[in-house]
Amino acid sequence: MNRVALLLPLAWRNLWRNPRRTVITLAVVAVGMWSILIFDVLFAAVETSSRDQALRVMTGEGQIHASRYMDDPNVAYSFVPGTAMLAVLNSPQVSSWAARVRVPAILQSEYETRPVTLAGASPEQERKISVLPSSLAAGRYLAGDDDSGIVIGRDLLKRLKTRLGKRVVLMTQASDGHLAQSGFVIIGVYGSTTPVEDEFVFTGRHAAQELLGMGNRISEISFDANAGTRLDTLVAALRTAALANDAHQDNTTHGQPSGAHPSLVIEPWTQFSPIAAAIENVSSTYTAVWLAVMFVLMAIGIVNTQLMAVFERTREFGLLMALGMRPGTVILQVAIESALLVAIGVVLGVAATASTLAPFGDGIDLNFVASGVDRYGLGRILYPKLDPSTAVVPGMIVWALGIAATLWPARRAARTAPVIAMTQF
Amino acid sequence: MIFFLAFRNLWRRPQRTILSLLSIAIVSGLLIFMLSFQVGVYETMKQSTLRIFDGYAQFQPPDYADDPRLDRTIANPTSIAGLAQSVSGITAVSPRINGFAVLANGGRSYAAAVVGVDPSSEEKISSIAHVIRKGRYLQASDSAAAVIGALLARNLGLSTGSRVTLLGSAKDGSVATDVLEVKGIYESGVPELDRSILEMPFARAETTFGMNNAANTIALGGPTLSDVNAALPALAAIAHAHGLALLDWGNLEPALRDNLRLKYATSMLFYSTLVAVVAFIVLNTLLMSVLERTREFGMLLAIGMRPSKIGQMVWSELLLLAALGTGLGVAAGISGTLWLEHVGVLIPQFSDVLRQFGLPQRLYPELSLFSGLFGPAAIFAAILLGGLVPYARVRSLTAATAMRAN
Amino acid sequence: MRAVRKFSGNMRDLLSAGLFFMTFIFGPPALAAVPTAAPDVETLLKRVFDNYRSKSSETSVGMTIHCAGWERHLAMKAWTRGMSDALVRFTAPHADAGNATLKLGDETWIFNPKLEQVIRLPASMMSQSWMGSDFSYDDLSKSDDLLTEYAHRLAGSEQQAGHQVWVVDAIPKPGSPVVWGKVTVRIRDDLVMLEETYFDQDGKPVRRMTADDIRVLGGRIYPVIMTMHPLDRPGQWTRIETSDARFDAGLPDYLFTLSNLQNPRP
Repeated sequence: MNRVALLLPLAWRNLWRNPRRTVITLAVVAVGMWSILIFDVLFAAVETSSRDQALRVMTGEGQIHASRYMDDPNVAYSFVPGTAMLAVLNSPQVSSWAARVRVPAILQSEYETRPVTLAGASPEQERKISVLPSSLAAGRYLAGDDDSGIVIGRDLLKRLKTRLGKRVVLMTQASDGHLAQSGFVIIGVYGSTTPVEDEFVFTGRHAAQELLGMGNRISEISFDANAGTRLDTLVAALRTAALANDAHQDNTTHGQPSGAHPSLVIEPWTQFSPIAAAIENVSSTYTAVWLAVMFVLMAIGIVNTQLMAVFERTREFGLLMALGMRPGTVILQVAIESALLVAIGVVLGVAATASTLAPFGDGIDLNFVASGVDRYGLGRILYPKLDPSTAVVPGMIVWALGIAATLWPARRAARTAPVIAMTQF
Repeated sequence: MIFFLAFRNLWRRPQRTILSLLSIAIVSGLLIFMLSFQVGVYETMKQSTLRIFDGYAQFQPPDYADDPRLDRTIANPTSIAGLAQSVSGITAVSPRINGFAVLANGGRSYAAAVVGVDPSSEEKISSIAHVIRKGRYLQASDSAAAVIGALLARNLGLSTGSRVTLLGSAKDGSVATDVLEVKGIYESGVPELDRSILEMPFARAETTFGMNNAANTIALGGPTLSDVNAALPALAAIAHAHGLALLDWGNLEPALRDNLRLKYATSMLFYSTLVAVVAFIVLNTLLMSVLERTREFGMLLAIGMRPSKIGQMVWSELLLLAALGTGLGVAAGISGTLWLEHVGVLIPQFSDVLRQFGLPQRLYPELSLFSGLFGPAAIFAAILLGGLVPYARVRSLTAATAMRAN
Repeated sequence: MRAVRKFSGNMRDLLSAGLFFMTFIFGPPALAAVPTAAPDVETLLKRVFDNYRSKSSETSVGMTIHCAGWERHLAMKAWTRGMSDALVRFTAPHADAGNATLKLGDETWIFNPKLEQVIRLPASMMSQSWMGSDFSYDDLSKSDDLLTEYAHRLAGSEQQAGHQVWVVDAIPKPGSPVVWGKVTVRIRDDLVMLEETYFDQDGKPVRRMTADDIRVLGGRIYPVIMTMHPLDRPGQWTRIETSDARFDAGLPDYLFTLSNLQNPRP
């Protein structure tokens, strides 16, 4: 270790003897590091965006419905979550959950009539599980469970030829079969999502239950598992809880024999959105391939540069060895130099990534691509996030690679007899 | 002469040159494949979505898309269909009647869309005919027949052989009624469709809804989406001549079109980063080599070679490197992509899902002039552009200082 | 009234008093006394509706649906009970004859003779056009909305052909299932509704129902011909002509049942 102490200041000074070479090598390492981190961050942002679009609008990672509901999303197929189920939902296994009324309805303005899906929601719960409350294009979101204003999608607003602040009439089939109708004032407009999601019309859950005469019954529960919980474990726990609450289920018409099987259906998103699940699987492979490519490129760059840097100094090493430095020490010196150099390069790369991403704190706006595309649509803006921990592993790999890349040429250089080294290089 | 020197210079340090060539070649080839694969996958996505029901293009009455009323019609659909069929690239034309009715069985009633189709034409356009789970699809000889979605069947309590009552409005507003026998039950995989569409024979729908030799839409199909897109100008002429609107795939599925545009934008971010990085790495190497050879250049200057000539020589090295690298990349990329175009890429998790929807299970890249050349060209250009830096460096050398460099 | 303004104060008062008096004397007979001073709007409207609907009614109606290019005539018999129950049975043309619609409170059923079936109209069909007219099934259930879902105020009065006409603005109550911003009705002093104009929430008129021919029918002053005009589609209208009406005649209860819908008793 004495050797190291001796060599350290020497190594540092050596780096700056040939600033150009050092800077170039730093540049390669920094750029390599930057490119890997940028890719990583962008991929994560794209994945989050896709996930948001797929799961964090209305779906959630899992859903609970009464068993006939998926065939016929009727007010009749509603339920009250039992105590066992609520216990699981409120446990730390679940990061957020939302109970909703969700039935087909008709929305009417002075000029047009459109079929929609009425969603009676609790804003407090929705904010935690859905991105929709925070993607309003105009107006405001629901203020509480009792809020009887409605929030509708932008496209629907246009098709109905109505505006924020105007009243529209909602018609839907109530629990007892009669046609319930009420006037609602449009209090908020959310940005376009896909047309399927645009058909959602939100009002307070209690307001919806009252209109439909549902009491405290609901149509569905969406839930997200906590980061540390496996989704299938959670689903199993919920299914057990559902069985324990058969007595509470309330399937009215088309009654089924209860007790023989649970009358609630609990499904993870991979089951009710198989395409999205497949795409997510493919995406992680895709990401891994891209990152591997970047690593290889970066490795080539660093290796190339380091090779050149070391070979260039063959004469210098020859001189040192002629003066008595042992070959092993030469190699060690080279190793220390590159350790320092690459470390600085890695730090620079991380800094470069941070500064590249800084102006995009509000997200990368992809709207330049499509003319007339709604600014507030989900997926239009990517939110890259640089998490310091993501830089650690690539950083270590790059560091190790950078040092390793110098060892072979250093050995070659050190093996060359000093005389030859000094004269022929 | 310059090129010859340049070429020889490259090979003075073979490992370095080979590494640079490899990086350029790998990334060029990769970009070719990635772009082609992306295009191919998106084409598959488009075709899969459109094949479920829409068709690759449609003739519609003007304003029908905004307000699809039964009384908005296309007159003489058969003759227009004939005209469309004669356009090259179009192999399937299916006129449709889009009505709306209450379906009833016993005490249950549900509202549904009722579509009058010609079975033999419709089979070539819509995959509903191919995802019949029980019974069979409609046949030319059928009259009072219907094919319904699985969820609709369940909700109404219908099975093959049952009768279903239809009560709706005809074109002139009068009551349209019919009683049909369920011949088949389909499962398209899209719950909204399975819950809300009943298909019946065109001729019968014409009578029931009082259409009087008119249809609401004419769906068009071809061997591939690109074939139909290529035929769009000819189809537009037909549409114009008959006062109809022509809807292309983007009009039929605007959300999908938006989505894909976004995906292209995102991937452009990645591709540009990749091109920038590879160019940087190559140039970095070159710059180092130029710096390394400063003494040598000094000598050349001393013996009379003009700086511009040396500059050209360096630039030629760059050019050759870029050309060789991208050339290799293009060759490898194109042949690899062509091979995979033939063989297809099987992604296990995906193929299960695709099979469920009655779609082809392998994914195929689609090589085009653009995907084949864009990536390599971008790299080539980036390298040449960045090469100005070492070039400038060389041009600024003077013999005396150069020879003294270490 | 330019002529009135020319006179000085006293004369004016005398003249308007005279006018007031004459209207009172020569107002239509056989009807309850109609206040010709500013009436209580709510009562006025209620009486208009009572006049039109009565406790029960039996009418023969012809409906003409006119679109750019074609016209369709339907003939039907209609029975109403109170404000909430109605039975309509079509008698012509041949293709539509036998079709019937029964509305009981909030629910609507349709009968079709070819199908020999009674089908309950699902909620999603409520906004569909009724027999191709400019009325939807839903409109049929909303006929007394004007009374129940709006707050009324008198906006003015006019003179027309010897009658006093009250102009009433109806503004929807908060939370009412009404899309309109305002409905303006013109009511004649003999309790006939001359005109109903529906405005959107920006104040633009969207549709207008006019009474085109007013006569005595079944012992009442009745708008025998009414036309509904969608103002954004000129050239399109639906006309209702009532002939042969009996009011408050006492209709048997079995009329308003599903079995009668399917099998009408003679």
